[in-house]
Amino acid sequence: MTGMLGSMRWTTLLLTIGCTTLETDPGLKGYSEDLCTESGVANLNINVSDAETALLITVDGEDLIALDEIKDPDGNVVLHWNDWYTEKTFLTSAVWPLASEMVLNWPIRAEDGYLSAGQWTVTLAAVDATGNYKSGSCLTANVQSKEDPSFASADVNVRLVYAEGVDELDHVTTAVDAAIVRWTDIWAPMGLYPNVRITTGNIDPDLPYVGQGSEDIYNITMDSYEDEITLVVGETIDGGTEFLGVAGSIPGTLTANTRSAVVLGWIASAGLDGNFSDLDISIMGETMAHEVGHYMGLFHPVEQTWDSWDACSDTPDCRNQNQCENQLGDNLMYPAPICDLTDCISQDQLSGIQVEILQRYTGAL
Amino acid sequence: MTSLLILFSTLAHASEPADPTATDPAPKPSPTQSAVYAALQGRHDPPTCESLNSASPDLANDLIWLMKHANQPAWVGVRAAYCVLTEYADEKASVIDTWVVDPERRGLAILTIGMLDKMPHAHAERIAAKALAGPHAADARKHLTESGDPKLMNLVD
Repeated sequence: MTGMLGSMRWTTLLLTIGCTTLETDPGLKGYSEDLCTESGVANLNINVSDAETALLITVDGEDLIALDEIKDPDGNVVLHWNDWYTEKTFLTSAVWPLASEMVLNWPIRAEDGYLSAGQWTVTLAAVDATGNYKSGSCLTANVQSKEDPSFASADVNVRLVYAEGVDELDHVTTAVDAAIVRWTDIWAPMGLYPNVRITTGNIDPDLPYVGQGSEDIYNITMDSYEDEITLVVGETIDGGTEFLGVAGSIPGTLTANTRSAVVLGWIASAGLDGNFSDLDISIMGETMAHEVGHYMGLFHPVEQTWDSWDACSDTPDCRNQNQCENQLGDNLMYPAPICDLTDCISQDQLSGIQVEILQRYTGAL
Repeated sequence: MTSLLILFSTLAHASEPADPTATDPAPKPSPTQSAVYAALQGRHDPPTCESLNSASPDLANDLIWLMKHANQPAWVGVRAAYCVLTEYADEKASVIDTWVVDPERRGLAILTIGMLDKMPHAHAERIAAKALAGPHAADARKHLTESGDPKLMNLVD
């Protein structure tokens, strides 16, 4: 597995014994630490100052990695994997051993409490393919933190990367510019402001399905700054057009790993004519806000099986398609647009707790 | 909400006598077309093309109907085309041939050309030749050159 810190463009790199300390932009700090599991778990001890208010922990290991538990400085368990592993409400993907990379943001919601000063302990589990804990499994944990006492207003820095040749398609770049305006309009009432830096990158326009991990994503993200979410705009995803946008994980990391991006395919957003109507552009802006919303920690308020939900108590736990469309159809994170073949309603609303989650994401500065 | 709208529209359409002189600017989907449309609408995890057979006994034609009439969200038509290309390349060969030469459907042309290396060679070479002679020849040259398939790449030369 590739290392996380690699050549990410950190402003300063200070090396200490067994630990890498990273000096970054104001408001965001970070360091990395190497650990190995004993009895299947490893404790990551994090010293939190009075000023730090949120943590983003990214782990890269040899085996499947999952969060076991989080303890606050008083020794209280504030999150345990078993409380969320089989629940029908989703809080974070960190509790599921899905890959050798794991990402956790803490706190997630206001009800999760605040990041009190002192030593926090994050217990990480290494799991083999059969689901058993594995000892002697080594991993690297990257810890980033931010200082944001109010969680009321934040810039979200995004590096938008055009895949090879896509930046030469004027009708695409014009549409993307307009979609960013739509995205900005959606987020502004929640006190969130995407700050998009547009670049090009050496990546095939048929983008990888980032949820399964990709070395191409790792390589492209190494050119992003440490406080940027990477959004790659290509032509298609995974050799076809079934996917219009995919977030690497929920939440996603600000360091470089094989899932450290959101990818977007322009053809699926433009449709068969290949041109962007005003409605296509509006929906593409909603797609950008939706996918980056996943990356910052939001789940769908309800999945399309109508039997699992997010962990936001202010998004109703609806039970069927009609009920869900009526109660949640205008929510930005609803899993499908609400359309009637030729027109769609706007999906630009977020609940108060959904906004709490976005504001607590460590990359919301 | 959507399903109700479509259902009501469908019922209204079914109950009205046909008027051959009337124009119909907004064709209404059949129940099976509505079902396929709903299945293709989600932002994530689209169904497999094979699984759509349970929603329609005439899936190929329903997909082609959606490609023509379901303009929003944009990816419904795109996903429908993908399923026709992957599941019905033989049955709908003559229809697919038109997809790379329609000047109004550049997105469809790019999608089709991009799928050629996954299609049987007999279809792929025929469609590629049409694409190279059509209004999207520049797109065709670019994608065929990058396809990695020697037979398709040779067509560009």
